Amino acid sequence: MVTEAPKQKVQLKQGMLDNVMRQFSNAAAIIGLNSNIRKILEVTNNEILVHFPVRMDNGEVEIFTGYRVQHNNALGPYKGGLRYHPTVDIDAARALAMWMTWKTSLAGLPYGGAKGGIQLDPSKYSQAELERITRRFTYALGDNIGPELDIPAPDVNTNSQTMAWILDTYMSTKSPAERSTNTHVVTGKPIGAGGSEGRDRATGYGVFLTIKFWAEHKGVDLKGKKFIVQGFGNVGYWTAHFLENEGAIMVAVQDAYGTLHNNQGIPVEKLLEYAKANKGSILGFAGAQSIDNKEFFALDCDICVPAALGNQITIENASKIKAVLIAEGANGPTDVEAEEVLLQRGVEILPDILCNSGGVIGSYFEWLQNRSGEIWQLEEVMTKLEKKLRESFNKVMETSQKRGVDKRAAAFIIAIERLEDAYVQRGIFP
Amino acid sequence: MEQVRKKYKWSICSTCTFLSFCELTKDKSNISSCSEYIHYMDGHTKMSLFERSQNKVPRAKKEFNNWF
Repeated sequence: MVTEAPKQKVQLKQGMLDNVMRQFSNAAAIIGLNSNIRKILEVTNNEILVHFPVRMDNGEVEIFTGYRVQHNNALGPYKGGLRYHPTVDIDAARALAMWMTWKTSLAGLPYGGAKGGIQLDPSKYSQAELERITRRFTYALGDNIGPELDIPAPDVNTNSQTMAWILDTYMSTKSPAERSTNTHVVTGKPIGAGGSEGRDRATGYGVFLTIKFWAEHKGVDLKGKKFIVQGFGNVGYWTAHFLENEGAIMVAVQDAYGTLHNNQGIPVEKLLEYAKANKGSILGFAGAQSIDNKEFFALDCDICVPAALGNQITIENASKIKAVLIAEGANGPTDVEAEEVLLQRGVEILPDILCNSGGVIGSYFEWLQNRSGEIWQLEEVMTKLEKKLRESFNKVMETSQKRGVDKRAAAFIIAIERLEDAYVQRGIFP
Repeated sequence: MEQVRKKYKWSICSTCTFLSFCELTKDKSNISSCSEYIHYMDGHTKMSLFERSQNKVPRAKKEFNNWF
């Protein structure tokens, strides 16, 4: 997501929260959400701020500030990532926690929404320091997280290794008899430490599936359809991999190094092999021509998959897009003005909250396996993912048609209505 | 590079290994999310306490080519 410049830092955070609140208010107004439930969903349940000391490699002690915002748990335990970044603060965590509540609700998962992290620049710390910071942060959070209370996951600057440290620290604080019952305190773990098969490709596979469902819905065959992908990282690669398997043709790809184009098709696996051997860069690949980055979104294609940065499709390039479908693999790749232009032009958009929800569904499967002491095979994980995502997709299409709203508004409406049902049925204590 | 990182302190670009050659955006000062992002921690996952045994055969990576 593109935000404001550093000097406008306050606006940056406010902007993020404003954006989430605006989307919520829009959907709440359409469904005429009960004002009391609206009051509840507009605020976060708990906001935890911890300051904790960590010994650095040079022997000095440094104090860190960590956050965990728990927005809502009406549908189940809080769920959301932990990020390590200088921009982490309470407002960013609030906005992202709220976003997680809608995402898990739309996906039909038994989870609420949370987000947190530590305000730091990880490039300034050694691996040993990062391990101590992570472990001490976990200890500071104490019983505010837990396998049935709040389940963190990887986010910006955190990975499966970070989750393994959190798991190990959290388990160490429990009595020996309880330790093995706490493996699901975090998701996104390495496979050897209780992680799930298929978690690596879950987001990309989810993006592909939503495109496939859309094609089925429209009676379109994906075979021979041309697609372009912005981003050749985890999400971009796996989406392209599955689309190619289905017979679609990748005609352009853009990554951090530049843009490649070949109207006859770029072989996905060969490009990955090349990029791996070329320090991650796609540039110089023999099977395509390098073109100017500005030409990317204007290229002739049927499907456009933005799977890199936020706010990439703007008023500047929206009118030039030739694709009939935009599948949002990244979070917030289309800005508000661009979306209006695209919808007026009849371009269909599969919203991020639906399109990239394969990741959090994959996390749910990891949690379920740990909880029941099972280990699922890859095929089983992918089959269950398809079933779950198909449910979400069908609901979005049905709501969009029934209420005469675009698919993004429909996705928000479904998420909010599910929460509304929970409050209506349960009431409020006392 | 340190100066550049300092300049983009409030952007995720400040900790991304692609920073010096990223072409996705010219304005790196205001990015907070990117799927191309390579974390500083990635590639630095060597355990400080335990090392893998030298003779261990690497676990076979299950391929997923015949899904359809």
